[in-house]
Amino acid sequence: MQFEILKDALVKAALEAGLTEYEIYYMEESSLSAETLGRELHNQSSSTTDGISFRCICNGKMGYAATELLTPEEMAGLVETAKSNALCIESDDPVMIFRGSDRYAKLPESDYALPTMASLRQNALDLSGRIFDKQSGLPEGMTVDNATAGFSFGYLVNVRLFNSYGLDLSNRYGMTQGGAEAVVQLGEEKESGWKVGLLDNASSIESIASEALRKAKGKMQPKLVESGPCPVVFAPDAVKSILATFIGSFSAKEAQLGLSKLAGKEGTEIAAKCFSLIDDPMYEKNPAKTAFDGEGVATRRKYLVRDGVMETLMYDLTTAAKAGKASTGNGKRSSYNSTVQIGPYTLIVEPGNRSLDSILSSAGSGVYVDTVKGLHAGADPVSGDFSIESAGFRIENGRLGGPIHSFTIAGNFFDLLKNIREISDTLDFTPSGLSGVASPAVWVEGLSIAGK
Amino acid sequence: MLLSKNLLGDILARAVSTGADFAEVFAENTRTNSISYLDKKIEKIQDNVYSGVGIRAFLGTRTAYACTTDLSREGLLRCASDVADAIGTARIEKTVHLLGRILPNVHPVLCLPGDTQLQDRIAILKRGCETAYAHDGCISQVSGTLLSVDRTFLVANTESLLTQDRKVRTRLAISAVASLKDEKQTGFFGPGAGMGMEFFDRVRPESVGERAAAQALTNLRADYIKAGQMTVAIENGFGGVIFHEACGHSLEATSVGIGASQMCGKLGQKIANEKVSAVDDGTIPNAWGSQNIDDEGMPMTRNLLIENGILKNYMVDRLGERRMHMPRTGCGRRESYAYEPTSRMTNTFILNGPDKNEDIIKSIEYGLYCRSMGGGSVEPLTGAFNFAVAEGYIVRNGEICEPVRGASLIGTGSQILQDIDMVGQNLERAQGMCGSSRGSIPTDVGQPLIRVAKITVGGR
Repeated sequence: MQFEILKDALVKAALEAGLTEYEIYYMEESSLSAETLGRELHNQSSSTTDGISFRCICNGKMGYAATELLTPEEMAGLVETAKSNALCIESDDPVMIFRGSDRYAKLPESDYALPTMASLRQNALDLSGRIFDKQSGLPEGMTVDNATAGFSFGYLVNVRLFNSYGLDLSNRYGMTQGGAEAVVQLGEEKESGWKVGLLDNASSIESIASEALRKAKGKMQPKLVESGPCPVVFAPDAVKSILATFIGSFSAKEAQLGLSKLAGKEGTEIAAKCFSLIDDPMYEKNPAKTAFDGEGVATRRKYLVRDGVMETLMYDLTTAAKAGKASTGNGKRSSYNSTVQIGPYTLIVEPGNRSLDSILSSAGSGVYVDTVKGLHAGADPVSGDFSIESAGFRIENGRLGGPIHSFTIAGNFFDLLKNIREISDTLDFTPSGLSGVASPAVWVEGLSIAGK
Repeated sequence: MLLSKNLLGDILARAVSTGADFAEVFAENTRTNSISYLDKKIEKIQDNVYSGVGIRAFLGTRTAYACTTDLSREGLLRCASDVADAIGTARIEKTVHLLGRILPNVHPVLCLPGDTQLQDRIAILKRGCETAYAHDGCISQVSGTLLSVDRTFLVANTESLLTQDRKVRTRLAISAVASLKDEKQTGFFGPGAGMGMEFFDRVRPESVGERAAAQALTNLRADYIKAGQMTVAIENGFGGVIFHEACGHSLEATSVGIGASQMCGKLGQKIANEKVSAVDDGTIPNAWGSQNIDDEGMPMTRNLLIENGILKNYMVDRLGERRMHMPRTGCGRRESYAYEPTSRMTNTFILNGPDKNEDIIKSIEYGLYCRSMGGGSVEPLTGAFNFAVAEGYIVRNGEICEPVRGASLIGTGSQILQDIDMVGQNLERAQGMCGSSRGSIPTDVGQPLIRVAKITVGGR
């Protein structure tokens, strides 16, 4: 096997370079995808890539190097580069190669196999086809546009981690997903709606196609909304985007650098009582699970926030050593070519007790935010301030009203957490490899809208 | 040469063996070195080698793509077979002859990253970051990255083309945090170029740190802006992100070619105020978004997009050429071999206009002056865009007054292009990474100071 040959070459080169503490991280990824445009097949692609990284401790510092040129001859150069990089590091942060956790969760055996290109083509054709099939149910004059697209992809990842203490771990995960972009036209106006999800049961394709069309249709003939403070209910997809933007403030590294407002807040109330946030590396609905992180530490399900109280930040080995704590297993390697970075697995916002309809009825009037855009630009993860372009619906008389667009919602993430009024009872989950967010809709007070 | 001519011919022949009418091979070897500074110390250094091949075939406007890191003859032919199998089931024997074509290099690099000592690069990064710390006692944290990329790639296709290029780029990006009591605000500056280490003969590392620190400090002392519609003046350089988002993406064949852009069918029409002219220019020597050839092997061009408000052209790649029946413009780009190329911007900016910069500020009774912009995003179908103001000031009675923070600008591309009613004369470009279909690629944005008569400013 490719990995074993490379590993042997690296171990030999490390020995010759006088290195005693090192780690090898190998990742192999295969993927297939098919896309349609209109009702026609438009693009198919496949990919088979792998790469290896070597990191080592030299004079108490960590150096990294990675390559996709996978020949035994290249490995000596990889070791040399990592070593010379280590020698230039100045950071005094404690670094370590991990000896291993006492026990690792036993994951159910992943029997995922990549689908055939033919089945992905069919998924993609079905996804866009179903949107066209719903043409007859659209309001008068509205048509499904030929820019409507469907796509489906599958990927399979194999990971190996081996280090100088003999720790030898492997993981395998993969999944098949589908998505659709529905484009509808009414007169001169075109609107689009987008949905992506797992294709894990018989009704997945229908629900993705319907949801994409619902979003596109709902946006038609939007109005502007008045500026001012008002109650806001965020749809699950909007909550996912916001959480993904600000989750960095739960990183112990950001906290230790003084770049997180959550520093020193473990054990204190940081959110409304109805808010609980779980980080789960083995979430049952995510086909991608892992029992170890990018440093070989055992992962576990944990509350970051329980009933409004922050239970823990996310730690890797370095930040845990600095804080005198144990790693929470959040030292992730997003790929063989990335360094260890603290990050979450599947984040789950714990659902509340009432349905969205019932919450809207209590909210009475306000704004339902379906999509938020441009968070990478309109949000400051350090201060928590955000001002983001949004689109959605009015909430009128306790129900969803007409579509609204071109407004921004401004506020502060940390204030938002405290101002959550209620959380709906149904989780919506979008996986993204080992990460992803599962969230219900969330009702928040104290935000202001800038519209007309 | 990354792969032999014979092997390339065999790969292409295999890729078209089931009826494709065109095939292309893209082979890449890229070396990156990234040095990170944090908390007053060199924190991480990482070297990566990316090496792989992407093979593409067309049958009309249907495309198939496959990529691999397995560079053995068998691995590459298997990859070509995957492409062929996705295209059809016919059995056609073809021979592909390749003719080498190397263009003169108009982006010479004097000091390759691989030829400099790591210690020298570290020293440059530290000069920038330490200056940011020294700027003011309120600067509590500084992080910086010095990135060097050396990318060699080859393109061969069934039109007998065999060509290659090498793109070196260097960027110093520094972000500073200013703190006062519980308040923290950030500033950022990240200039780069299609150059080696000689870039720092042109841009002093200290000036990068100073600008990041000054911006953080301004924001720390700023109040939140009150939201609403107002007149806005947007400064040169990264201010050009407004055009990139509001218009540029909507002119890419990726969306125009499938009818999913607000700019479809508008060639020859007035889409902007007559003071607005704009180009996409991949030929500027050593610019951040320039290459000798695009990732489809075509020489990059200077493409006049808008002239005096009239839409003159789109940005068209090879697939767009087939869909739109318009000539390619040398803008086929991709993050790496792992992505199929598509039409993307290179260096895209608004040209100098007729107005004096001081007149633009003087003309504003009450409004916002955006000295520096953050990033943004757009939905090409509707042209709805948003972008963040990284450093802004209130303009009152024609004078730039107190700083404000938390502002974002939102609107639609077609509207704002008409509403740009003054265009100044201090054109400057700035560097960014544009993330869109087919990955993240280096692009320049740019403009002189402009005035937008009316736009929605989000704030508190």
